[in-house]
Amino acid sequence: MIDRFLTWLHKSERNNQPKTTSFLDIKGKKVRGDPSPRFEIQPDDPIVDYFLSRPLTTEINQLDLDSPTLKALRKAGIKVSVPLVSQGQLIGMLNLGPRLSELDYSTNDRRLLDLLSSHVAPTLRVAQLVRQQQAEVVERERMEYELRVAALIQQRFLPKQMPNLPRWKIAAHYQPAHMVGGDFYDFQLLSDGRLAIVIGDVADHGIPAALLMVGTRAILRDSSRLLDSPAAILERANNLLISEIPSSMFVTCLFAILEPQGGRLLYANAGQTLPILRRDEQVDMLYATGFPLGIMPDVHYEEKETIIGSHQSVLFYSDGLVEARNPGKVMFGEERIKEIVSSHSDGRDDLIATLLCEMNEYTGLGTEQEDDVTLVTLQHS
Amino acid sequence: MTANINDHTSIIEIQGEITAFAETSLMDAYNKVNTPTLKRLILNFSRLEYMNSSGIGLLITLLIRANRQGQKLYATGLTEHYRHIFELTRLNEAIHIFPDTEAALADAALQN
Repeated sequence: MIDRFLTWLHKSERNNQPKTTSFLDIKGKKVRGDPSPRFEIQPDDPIVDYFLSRPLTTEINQLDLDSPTLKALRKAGIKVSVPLVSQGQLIGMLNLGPRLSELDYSTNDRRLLDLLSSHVAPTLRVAQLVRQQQAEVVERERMEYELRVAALIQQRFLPKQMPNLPRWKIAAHYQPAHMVGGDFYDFQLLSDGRLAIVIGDVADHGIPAALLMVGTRAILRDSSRLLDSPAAILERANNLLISEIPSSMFVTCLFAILEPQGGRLLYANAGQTLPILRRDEQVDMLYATGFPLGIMPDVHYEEKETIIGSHQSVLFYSDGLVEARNPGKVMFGEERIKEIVSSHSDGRDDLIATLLCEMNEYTGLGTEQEDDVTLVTLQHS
Repeated sequence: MTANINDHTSIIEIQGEITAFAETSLMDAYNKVNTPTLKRLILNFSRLEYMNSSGIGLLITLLIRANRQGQKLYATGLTEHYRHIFELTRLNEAIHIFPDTEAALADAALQN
């Protein structure tokens, strides 16, 4: 009986419904209809306040309340209800039909039931919490499993090695905030020798983000085989994604095509953070704006171009770097990134390592990373 | 927190962090002010502490819902960082940005 009681109470709690579920499980005469009807009591039902103020065995027919539960109890043939109250909460009711002898419940019966309820209620509450905890463990394990699957999907589609182009040093770093992040990057060597570079962010996490990232990557790869211009590629990808993406999801993405010979870089931007070009100790933001992919159909993207000359480099990065916060909740910020890039000498440490080191020092040890961080650098020697 | 200025204009005060976890509160706030006569909704970000890409996604969802009902969205109190993000994502073309609520209300009054 207790087991059934727990099951119902547990279900009610798991569904996060602020309702009290009661049941009837009589050893005596069966009531009409379902032998164990269940009653869902709304939190604003006056019977809740009544039982909280008077947690004693109660003759249903003697109650005078405008209560939907009371009506349901009467309809089910309940004669006596025993409220189960623990820590100021009505956690259930033990409902009994008429006695087999057809006599009324005696004072001794009611005393016995009150005594029973005073022992059962706290025990039941503890058992209910244990069940709830067990369910939470199972749910956590299920979510961790899903995240592991999503991480496998995502890692499978991130580049396994950097493109090898003469006179170019290309590096990337991907650091998800959770097991599976929304950031991604990609390189694709095109048939004419140019290199397509993508850095993007799917506005979600977990399996949906991983699947959308895989889909976006496939669409962009396919589009870059058909089209020459980054803006046209983003426009095609946007129109293809529109019908596939739920309204709350979108993808920010910067798409660039590098001509390794002369260092010409064409780029278009769908709402991604702006890349930084370093020329000697000067830095320029590669400015281009555009709607994220998957929000609106038939969007046009502006296309820009620049030259990455010898001894110059470009940094692509995700918002996780800009928005990394220190313990005082102040963001790392674009200006700080520009300063680091401008003062960084190519011959010295790796720019990615320097940025990560500065970011970690800024956010402090042991601080939980809030968003994914992705960095891609192109250095022209 | 929400406030109905008049039949046509309401304000939602954004406070704290806008991430995926804010979905219920933001949509609840919108449902509270979304009346058949509502024409302009002002989102006041002056007490926003942090917003990530999922948060931007929520704003886009809100924007789509509001646009479907012919309502205009205004944003006020954005820091320079978030104004920059609105610019990069071209959200500033769909959401009217004002420095503060007074300026947005003055514009809304002109539209009445």
